[in-house]
Amino acid sequence: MSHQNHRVSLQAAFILHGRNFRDTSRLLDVFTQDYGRVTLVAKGARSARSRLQGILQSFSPLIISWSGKGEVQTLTGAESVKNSINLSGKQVMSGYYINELLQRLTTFHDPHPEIFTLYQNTLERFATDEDELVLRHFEKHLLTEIGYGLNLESDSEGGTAIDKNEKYYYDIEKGPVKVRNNNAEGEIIISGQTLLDMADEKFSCAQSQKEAKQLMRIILSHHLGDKPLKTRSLHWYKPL
Amino acid sequence: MSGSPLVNQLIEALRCLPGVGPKSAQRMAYHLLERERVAAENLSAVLAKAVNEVGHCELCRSLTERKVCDICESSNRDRTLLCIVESPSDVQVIEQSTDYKGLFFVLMGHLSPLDGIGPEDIGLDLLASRLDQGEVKEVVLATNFTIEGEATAHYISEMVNSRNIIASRIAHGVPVGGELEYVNSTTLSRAFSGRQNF
Repeated sequence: MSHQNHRVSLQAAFILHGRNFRDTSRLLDVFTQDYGRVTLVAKGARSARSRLQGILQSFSPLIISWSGKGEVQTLTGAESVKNSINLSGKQVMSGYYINELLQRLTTFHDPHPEIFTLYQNTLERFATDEDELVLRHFEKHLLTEIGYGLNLESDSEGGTAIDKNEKYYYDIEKGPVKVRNNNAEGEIIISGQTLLDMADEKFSCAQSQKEAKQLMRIILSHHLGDKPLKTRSLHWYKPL
Repeated sequence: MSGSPLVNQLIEALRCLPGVGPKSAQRMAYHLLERERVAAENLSAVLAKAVNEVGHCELCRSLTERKVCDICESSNRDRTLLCIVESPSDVQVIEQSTDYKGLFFVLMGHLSPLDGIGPEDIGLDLLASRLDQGEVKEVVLATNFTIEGEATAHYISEMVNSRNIIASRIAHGVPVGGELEYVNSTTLSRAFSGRQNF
């Protein structure tokens, strides 16, 4: 970003993560519609008189303004948009997961309006659709938008269409490869049905849902590198 | 800045307090040294003693210099009620402003997945064994009304419900003396969805 003072007003945004900063401020990692991720400081947001207290929460659609120069700029205004999204407890955990994916797979000041729309739709879909389905949809489209789109239509060796009755393994560089005599040693084997289901964004059976999750996990960890996702390393889903 | 290294060191040390910048740290240091020598000596003695002796209560994790704090030890409190709060200062405000007569459990924070803070880090393993003892009949969730506080409350409610204990959440809505026009939209919509018979 340039070092001249600049001012942005009334930008649609979501807060991905915030932490306390100095005595009464918050430092926010914000995902905006037209400017990508930006780091903003919300001065005085934690003081008792601040109007921002109830507004600056994750998963809540906001309209924000900011100004300043350099890496960390100053939030100058924020209001919540009507029809706020209400996530239930378990969905909040899923929400944190997609927030962490965005933090890890996108960089600051890199505009991604399509991913913004995807993110917003994903949060809204939590209200109506099954969580796992929503997460797989988000992961698949996020990968496509950042240039790592999946091949789910054809065998990467030979180019034939995926057969739902065959077994495949997924080569991260190339795509699905049909399993024949021991060429898939050490790979996760998935059925053709799973690949077709992922392309259609539905799950025909529990097995396909499980395989899709495993496959996504492997592909994502390839792109995420050595550092594991924090939201995955904690035991969220089995309470003590 | 003063010419004395020790005074400068004192000023620097005072800046660890919340809300204290260089200017107010300087005022405090000079005030203590010029006008309040006795009080300053008392402050340093008490501070040293407190830092050495105050630890966490074995039952509720709140601050105390004994093994078990006064509230947990008291015989005239309702031991079947357990209120979960995020910090020891929350215990203080609840004690001062409500007639709640049960016990407390202090998390010393909240779940925060993106910061890597999980259930064990806020003592939920301790809470689990406390619930397993069977004395507690109702858990009152009084974590903050932030997303993290709500997520924490939800997680604990699952722990509580799986043991057939009642979990309740403190109410939220329009503050007393508040005018609807000035209440933020999320609070107002929650106040409507949580309305009660009157």
